[in-house]
Amino acid sequence: MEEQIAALTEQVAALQGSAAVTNTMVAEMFYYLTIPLMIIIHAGFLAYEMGASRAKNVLASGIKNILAFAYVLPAFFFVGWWIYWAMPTGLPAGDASFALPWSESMGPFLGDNSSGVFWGAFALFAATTASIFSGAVIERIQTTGFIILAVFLGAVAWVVAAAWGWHADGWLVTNFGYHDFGAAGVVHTVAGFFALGVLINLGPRIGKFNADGSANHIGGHNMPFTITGLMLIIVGFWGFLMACAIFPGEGWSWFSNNFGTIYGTPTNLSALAFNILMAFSGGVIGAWFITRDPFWMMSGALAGIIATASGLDVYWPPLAFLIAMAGGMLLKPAAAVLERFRIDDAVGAVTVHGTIGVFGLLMFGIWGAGYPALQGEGVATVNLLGQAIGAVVCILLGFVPGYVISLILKMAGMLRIGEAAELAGLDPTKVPAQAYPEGITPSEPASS
Amino acid sequence: MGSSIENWDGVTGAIFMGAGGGMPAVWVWLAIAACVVPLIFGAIADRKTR
Repeated sequence: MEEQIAALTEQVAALQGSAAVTNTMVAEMFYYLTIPLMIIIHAGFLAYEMGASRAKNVLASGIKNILAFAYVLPAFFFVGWWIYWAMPTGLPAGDASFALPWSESMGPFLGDNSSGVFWGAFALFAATTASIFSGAVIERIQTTGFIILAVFLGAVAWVVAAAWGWHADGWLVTNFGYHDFGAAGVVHTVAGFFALGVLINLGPRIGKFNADGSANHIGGHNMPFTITGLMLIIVGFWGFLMACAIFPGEGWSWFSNNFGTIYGTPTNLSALAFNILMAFSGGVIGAWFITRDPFWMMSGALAGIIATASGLDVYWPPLAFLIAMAGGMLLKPAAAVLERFRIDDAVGAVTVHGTIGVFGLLMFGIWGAGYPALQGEGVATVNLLGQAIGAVVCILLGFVPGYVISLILKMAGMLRIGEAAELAGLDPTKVPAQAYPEGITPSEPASS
Repeated sequence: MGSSIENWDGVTGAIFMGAGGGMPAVWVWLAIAACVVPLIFGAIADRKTR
């Protein structure tokens, strides 16, 4: 009898060990798969920005977008990852030696099935943040100046915001109950207002504004490409939002049997599925209602998701639909306000990400008021003031470095290309390749 | 509407705002209306451009 019990005990221990290994492998695979999904966001931004450019600038816009991705990833390895873990309470920085670029954890390490995939998911958040900014400045920014700006945004600015507001120890969370499940503030608001700071110094494209202040529409050469790109961004954002959830059952998990948010509050992928789909739909319908324009409709889809991102873990889906619809309806009027200030945002980045990011934060402060921001007793709860404070912090973390760094670059002659190059086109003056060597001409159908 | 949760410890079941009350049903009907109204305006626009 005792032998049977011992044998069964051994079998149970083996099964438990096997289950633990399976959980670890699935958790690692979960975050690993978010990475290629988020790279689809970049395929989307690539198509979006190239389509929104005039044909004479198409490849230059693509190069800029690809380089932002290529430079932000190593910058996040060297600097960004450490900032996130070291600075949730601001200065002085805490101990985050495991995140330093020479740490053993920052490379292949058997038995560590989490560091690389977590770093990878965050690095893609960083690259996404930089990509948001890149579209606003197409057709007139210098490549090197752009890369410097993108690196600062992707490896520093948004990361500080994330340390403060997208971390269970972040001071915005612990002190003010700030809640931002899907990073509407720490990614979208920061990126949108960073773009605004740069646009003020960069100036509009030649021909965008008339002497009387009225704006001319500068159409992209391929709207189908732009619209398809926006749909790809939506696909990729499923990976982004998936990576915002914390897998259960590991030593670093919040829960043994449930997904958690970055803050340690419970959620699940079902909640995200409901709310992301409803938000996508609401944003599209809202933008269609106001504009009937396919560009704004797809931007509305993105705006809908951003407008509800802060509370995707707890929104009632029909309410998420309505908030998203309001976000979609706000887009074109908000973009018009920007144009009245002679800001030439070529793709609506400031509007879609900055304005709607703030809108989304405040919406959650109204509809999500009272939710505990963390686990435990006596924690701060979500409230409108806390969300507003978080919004202001994100605006400043984006706008101030965007404005200051672009001003320094402008004084150094590294911000804007010359007028002659802008009029001739960036591709003929700067790119050793031709986008359409045979031109774009209609083909004849086969004769019957 | 606001939070249906006071403390996350041991929480199970519905956690969306207003869970257990009557407001979620109201939002459902408002969302349905929000789908229908743009369609009506769309139909009017379609008639004008026929």
